[in-house]
Amino acid sequence: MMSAQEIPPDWEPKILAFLCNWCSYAGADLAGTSRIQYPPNVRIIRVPCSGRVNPIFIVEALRQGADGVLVSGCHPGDCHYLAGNYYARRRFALLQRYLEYLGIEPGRVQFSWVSASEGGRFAEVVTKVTEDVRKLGPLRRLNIKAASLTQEGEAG
Amino acid sequence: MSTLEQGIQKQIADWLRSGEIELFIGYEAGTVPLQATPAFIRRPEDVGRLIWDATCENNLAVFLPRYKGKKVGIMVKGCDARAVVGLIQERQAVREDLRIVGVSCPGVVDPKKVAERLGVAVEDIEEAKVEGSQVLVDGQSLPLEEVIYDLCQACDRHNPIIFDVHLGEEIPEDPERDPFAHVREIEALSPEERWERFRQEVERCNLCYACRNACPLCYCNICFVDRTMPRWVYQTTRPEDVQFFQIMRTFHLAGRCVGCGACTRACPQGVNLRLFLDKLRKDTLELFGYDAGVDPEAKPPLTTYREDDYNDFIMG
Amino acid sequence: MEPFLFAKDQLSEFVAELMSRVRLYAPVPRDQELRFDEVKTPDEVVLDYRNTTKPPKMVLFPQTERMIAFAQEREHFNKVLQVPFDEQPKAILGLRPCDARSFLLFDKVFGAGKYIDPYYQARRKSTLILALACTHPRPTCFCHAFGSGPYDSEGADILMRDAGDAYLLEAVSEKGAALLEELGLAQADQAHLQKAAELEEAAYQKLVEIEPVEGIERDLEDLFESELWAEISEKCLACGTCTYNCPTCHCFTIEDRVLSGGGERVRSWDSCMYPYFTLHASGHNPRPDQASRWRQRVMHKFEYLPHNVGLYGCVGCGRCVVNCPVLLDIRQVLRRVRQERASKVES
Repeated sequence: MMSAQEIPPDWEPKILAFLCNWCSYAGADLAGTSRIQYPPNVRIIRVPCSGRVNPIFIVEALRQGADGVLVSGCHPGDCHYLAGNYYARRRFALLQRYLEYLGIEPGRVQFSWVSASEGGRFAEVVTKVTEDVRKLGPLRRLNIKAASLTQEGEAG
Repeated sequence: MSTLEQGIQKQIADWLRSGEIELFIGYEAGTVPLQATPAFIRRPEDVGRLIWDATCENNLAVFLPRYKGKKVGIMVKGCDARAVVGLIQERQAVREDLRIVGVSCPGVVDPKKVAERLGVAVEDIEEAKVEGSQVLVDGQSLPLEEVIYDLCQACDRHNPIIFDVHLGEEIPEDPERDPFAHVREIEALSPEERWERFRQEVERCNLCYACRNACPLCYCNICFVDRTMPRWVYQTTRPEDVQFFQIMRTFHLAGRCVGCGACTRACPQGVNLRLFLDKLRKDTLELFGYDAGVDPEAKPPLTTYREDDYNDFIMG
Repeated sequence: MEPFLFAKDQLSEFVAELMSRVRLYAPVPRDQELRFDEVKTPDEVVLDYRNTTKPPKMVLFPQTERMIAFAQEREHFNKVLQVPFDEQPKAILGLRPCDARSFLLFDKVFGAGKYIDPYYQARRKSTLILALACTHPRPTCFCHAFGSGPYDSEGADILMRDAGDAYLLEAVSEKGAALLEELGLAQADQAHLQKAAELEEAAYQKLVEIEPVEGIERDLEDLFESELWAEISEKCLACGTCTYNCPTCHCFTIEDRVLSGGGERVRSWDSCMYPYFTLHASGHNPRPDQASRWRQRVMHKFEYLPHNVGLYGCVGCGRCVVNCPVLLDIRQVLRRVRQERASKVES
């Protein structure tokens, strides 16, 4: 983890969020139409179901420059496809533990259930993830940007 | 090298002769001391080439998906047998098509450990052989249990779980043995230390994919590293790319890895992949009570669910 | 000219001297292995070793090499950043004669003929090779099958020989002679010359018996359609261990990679053992199975290269033998080729 003074002063966390179409994306929409404020650090990718989120998407997001990743789907029992989020839950339980085991700091990759009626909750979740990642600082592990792709010179 | 017991040889020859199988996959003597090599036997008169001893390290189950639909005989150790179960579960092999010689295995020799004991490199071992529970090399006699792979020393699956013919004495398991001691050590570290451990371990990887190709459960028709659309993995040795490959390949074995160690043994750079895959096995066991490669009828844990599955990690 | 000499306990001084002149590569401990890498401190060089797992080819032909980079300007990726050729003076110290000879093949493929590879050529031209004769050939070594040997100086600029408590250095090329001149080392004395000769004699005694490879290119000529390849390749796992650890394998792939704001054209090693090595964009794969890939591997090394450039694509270092996860031994493959040919001639 970077100590606080190593965090560049103008740095803002970049969070990638995979939101399921039926619940969490609608929840985000509701947060917007209800004029609920939440940090603008989140970039949203709408997916049909949290079960559609391949673990490779999450790790690839980290590699391509996201400082944190959020995956959000319907509450257990509410999946539009009946069980997509149940399958996702098993996969993500293993993935989160695994990434932490490899040294990706806890808090970088988080999961939540947010329904279409929970605009306020969506804002809370995004705020929490953003603040967690802000404390951790920019992701320096696995991040290909750190290898300064566009610099002149030899590949590392 | 110890030739295979007469009785077993005869059984294999009979299977071949009667047409019960058209191919037997076993081991034969290799060209380098302490290393056997896979043997593909099609004629009954060739069974004399087959051997079994502690140099037979390859997990031959890796070959099974290639012969799917054919009647094949195979020789498996305790750990390999679990991979066969995994393949049957995932419909990559059909139990009825297989004739399995299952061996109770006390562990296979790690030539690197033998070389270390002699103070030389593996390539410099000129002559060595396994006799009973001893490795005879360079005038010395080393106890087998001291020079088997780390994985074998931590083994909790000496006896095959699936077989038609059993070979060797049943080996009792030690219930006190902690097969995940090495995982617990890493879990106790800080994130910085854990990352450093991972980074250093895979730093030597040069993307030869020996781990993937030696793994019996890595049978995807097109591996994600070979995909061009999207191109997940560029074939570069940038640390981030290598780390990405290792994370995603190992994670694809979550709930499927049987812990046979074929990947770790195959790696020419000595990357200890077991350190990472065993974390996945440990978590699968802890979270879902599932041990891969035990029950051919069981559903792999990521292809099923329970409504009361572990939910604590979801943001409250 | 008599060889020069320096005492083994002066190795770090010798290394420091070289480092003051060139960027030096030598066997150094890195990440729990010994490999050819840029030397950071003079005392980390290890010369008392048998051989490295990874070959020194990576110094002149890196596994991953950026060819150009490009950056985004307004709407387009149109700002191309050239990667400067690496012309800084370099030297590789302490590589085995087999590995030194491997660069002769690279020179034929990348540095001669109609198409010159400028990245390789720039590195090669600025690199001096200080080979170290091999006192302990291994049971898996077969450099002598190619008419070479553990004291072969071919491909080197300077050949170093073990003389007990000292190394003898002898110039092989003019570049090597010039460097030795500058270094001003002591002349070798009779006792050390004697000791070096003894060690050389002992090294040759250690070579295992093996049939010469010479002529195999003719044996291979009419084996293209042989059943042999399916038999040989049956246990192959299709990994790239043999090719990546081979000092002479030189096949590569080039990919353009784009990320936000920029990208690069990068060249990386590829392997003929990989199913996707020859996959066409159409979906057709002219080498659809491992048998045809093994045929290519053997034919390329032992028939096409000798015909096209007059050198075998193998120096007999044995790395592919010891590192193969299933012990698919190239020496055995060559023996099978000869047998197959002999039985074909008979029938």
